[in-house]
Amino acid sequence: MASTAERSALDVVGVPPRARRPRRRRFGHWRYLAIPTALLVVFFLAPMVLMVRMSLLRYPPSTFGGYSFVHYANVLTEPVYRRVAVTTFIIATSAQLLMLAVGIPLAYIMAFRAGRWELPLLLLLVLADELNPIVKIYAWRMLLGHDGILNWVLLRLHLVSEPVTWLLFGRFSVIITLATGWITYTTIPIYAAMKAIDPSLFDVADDLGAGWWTKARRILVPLAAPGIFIAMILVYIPMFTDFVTNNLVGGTNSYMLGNSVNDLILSTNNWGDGSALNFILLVLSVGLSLLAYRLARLHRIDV
Amino acid sequence: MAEAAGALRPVAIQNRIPARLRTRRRFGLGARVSFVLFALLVLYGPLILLAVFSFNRSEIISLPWSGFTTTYYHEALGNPDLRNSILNSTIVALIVAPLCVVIGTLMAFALTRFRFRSRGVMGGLVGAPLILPWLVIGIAALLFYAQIQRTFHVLQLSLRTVVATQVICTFPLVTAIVSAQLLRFERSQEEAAIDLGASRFQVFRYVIMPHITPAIAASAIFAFTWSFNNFEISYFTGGFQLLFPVWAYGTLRNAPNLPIINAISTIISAVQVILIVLAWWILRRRGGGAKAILGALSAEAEPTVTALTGAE
Amino acid sequence: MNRKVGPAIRKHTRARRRFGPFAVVTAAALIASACGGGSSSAPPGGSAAPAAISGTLRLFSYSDGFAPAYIKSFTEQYPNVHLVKEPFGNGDEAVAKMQAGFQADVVNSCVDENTLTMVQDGLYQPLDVSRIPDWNNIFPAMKGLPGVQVDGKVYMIPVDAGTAGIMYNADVITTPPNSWMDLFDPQYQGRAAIEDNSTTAIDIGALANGITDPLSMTPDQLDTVKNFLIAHKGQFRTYWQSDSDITSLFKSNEVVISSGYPGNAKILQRDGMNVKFAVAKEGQMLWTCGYGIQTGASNTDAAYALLNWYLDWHQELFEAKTWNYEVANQLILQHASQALIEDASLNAPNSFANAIPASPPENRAAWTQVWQEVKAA
Repeated sequence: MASTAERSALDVVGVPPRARRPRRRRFGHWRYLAIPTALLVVFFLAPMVLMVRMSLLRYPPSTFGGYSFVHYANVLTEPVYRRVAVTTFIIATSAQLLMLAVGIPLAYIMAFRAGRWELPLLLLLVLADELNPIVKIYAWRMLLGHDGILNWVLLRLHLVSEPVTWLLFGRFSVIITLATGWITYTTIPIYAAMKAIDPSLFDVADDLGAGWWTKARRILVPLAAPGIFIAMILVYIPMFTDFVTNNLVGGTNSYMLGNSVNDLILSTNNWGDGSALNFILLVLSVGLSLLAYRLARLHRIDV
Repeated sequence: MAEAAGALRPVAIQNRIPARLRTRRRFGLGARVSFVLFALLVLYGPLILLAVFSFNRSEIISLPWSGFTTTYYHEALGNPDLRNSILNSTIVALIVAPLCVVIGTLMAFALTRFRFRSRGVMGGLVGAPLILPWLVIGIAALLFYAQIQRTFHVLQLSLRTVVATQVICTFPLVTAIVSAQLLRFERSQEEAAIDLGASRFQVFRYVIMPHITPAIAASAIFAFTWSFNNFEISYFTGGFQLLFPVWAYGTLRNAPNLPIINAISTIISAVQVILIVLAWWILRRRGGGAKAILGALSAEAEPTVTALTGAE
Repeated sequence: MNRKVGPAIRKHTRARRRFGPFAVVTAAALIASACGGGSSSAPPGGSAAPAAISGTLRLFSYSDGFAPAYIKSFTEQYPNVHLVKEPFGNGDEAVAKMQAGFQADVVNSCVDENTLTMVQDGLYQPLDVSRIPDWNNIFPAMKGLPGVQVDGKVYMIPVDAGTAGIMYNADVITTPPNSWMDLFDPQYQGRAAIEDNSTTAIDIGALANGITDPLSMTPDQLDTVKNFLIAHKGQFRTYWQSDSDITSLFKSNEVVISSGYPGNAKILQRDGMNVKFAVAKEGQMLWTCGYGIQTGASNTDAAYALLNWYLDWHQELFEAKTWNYEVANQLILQHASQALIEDASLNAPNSFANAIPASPPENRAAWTQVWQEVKAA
């Protein structure tokens, strides 16, 4: 960057101001980039590289036994991991469907029908996301328990004769808790995509006699589809790696990939398989994000 | 399509509910309102119930109502482990937030104000902590610190390791929000100031800062909240000094007295509500109108895509 | 003695600027040379006066190791020690966390789980028994358990022992269960729980399948047990992780039958629930737990103080009364009532007939692996 003295010197020489700028720009960005980049390299890239190295050692953390792909082979082929992956996929997809069922109509209402409530609703959505996730999970655990509030209501209304046990400590509670936890994350991209739709299209459709189902099917969903896909893709990432929900409200049949990684490293001491699985989840996350990014660019979603 | 619509009848683009359709829409209005209320109920209902039952004199979180009491609040605030964990979480968040603001803004500047060859890679690198699940980052960080401990015998898991990894995970959020604001900012004002002889610093201080201060303030509040609420990173890289989410997680399976969690959760949620509303107010009053708020809040809630698309 | 204590104090008070008052109190105590031990419990033997021992002490233990009513007398006797505690759910988790860099001073372990492993992995440091006067009062049989002494060095101080059996809600289950297979009875499906502990769970699975010596199972037998546990996964509502976990599960009626310990049943009875403990006819599992000092611990003075405190007969009496634990310190026999001695079998710990000894299995790593596979299946 040219100092004041240097600039005054240039003034004297008669170099016009505009001509000076290219010199300042060529390496000026490093002034800003240096610290963040250094931090990212030390505290982000280095751990990742180390983790990959650990997944390739036969008996991590010691180097005895050399390098090998055995841990990746384990994780990708052994039936136990496959079962966990299937369970995770089932739970994540169920939660996804619930979130779409709530998120798409909600996004539609916010984008087109909310009027002056649009910003407050957006605020409420963002606010819900900022509250402590452990607290939110605990709240559901209290609601769904054997002696909990929901069972109390069901008993009082004589809908059941004894408390429903499958509400808690099973896949149901994990799915519900995950779904409510990520509604904001789902709704906002869809909302952003819908904002890009010209609302007069709906008025024209009304004039032409279309009912709400036709409007949704022929106008709304096709135009909002990229946003919906992006939301779906992005929400899968955190759900695939979640382990807290299962530990707090899950039962014996809701063990997820996140639990696998957590237990492999912090319970079984199997750092090889744990790092390998962790790296696979990393690759999966990056892949899904790039897919979402491509979609966003393709449809010029201005999120 | 818009022209065709205009040819049929003049319809203002901004008009959401045309007058002559209101009667037909009355049923629709009822349906919409109830749906929104249902969605809000699902989002907030459990937390509101928690707050209500924190005043119920009973160990079991259910009806019948046994009497109003604030004893669980006293117990919660008198519990030394709980107080320590909240203190630790607040201290960590107070350290992490300013660091994130500074580092994140630097990065935002670099990415938006310069065009350089490695910009795509840098954008990807800074967006990576937002894309990658915190489980993945936390485990990698844990293994990293363990390796340092084994090789150099200097590092132990502690608040320092938590701060380091949390900063990495949170400053991209600041970058996303501030970039969103910087991108909206007209460069011509900046260039005019430079032409008029202002130094780089003066340009920054008098031209750019006033425009991005709301974004910085809002992102500081979000960074603070993210750090306070962060569970995975605190769980994996933390040592003996407990942080609040980790304490809550452990207590849920370890406490003889669950209602104190109700009480403290209500207090914490109330504080966070105030903070976020404050952030929203800052963006609204000083941030430049609805579009800016939309941009910033969307960036906050969807920083992944923002960071990715902003990198081009 | 003062030389050893001095530098430790300086290091810790400088590092913890939040605890300025502690530094002042410490200095004042040193200057005044007050003799501690003014509280009602007897001071533990050996070492410096309690008021001189200070600093942060990190305890990594099962949660009963620092139950508030229990640990209170330690914090009263050693007011200048800042005790921080971290619980673990089972021994596997404890070892894994320590290998990942978790550093504590005093660590709890159980002979049937991971004591020997910790010694072999270098996680425990050798103890100087001259600093533990009550060492000579420990039941001789306990001193010989695996991991307590290895190659002539002492690594762990056994403190308590007991058995594992079946807990059940006597209001719901009117016939007392007497077999491990009762835990797998289909009529309790979805209302049963089992401890999240590889040693206990696999022992139970083995005994329920007629294997009489689980600790020396062949790999084939281990496989049978694994498949059995996986096949019956749906039986269990959840895996419980701590005493408060299982008590709150019983209290909120989430489960009616579970594997557990007599102490849990006692706690529930005191809180008004009719939960009883039953011994399974195939056999009960013995456990013996104690404390040692982790390699790399920084505050060894306070650590020895804590070890002595745990072993002291006052604390052992508390454990016997509150949780019906058997204890290691023979002095208990002089201070406990006859009724308590009989109730908790204090005079002959670990000598039940038909009991699996408190000893780790031969292939412990395999057991850990199997339990993870059962949970993940």
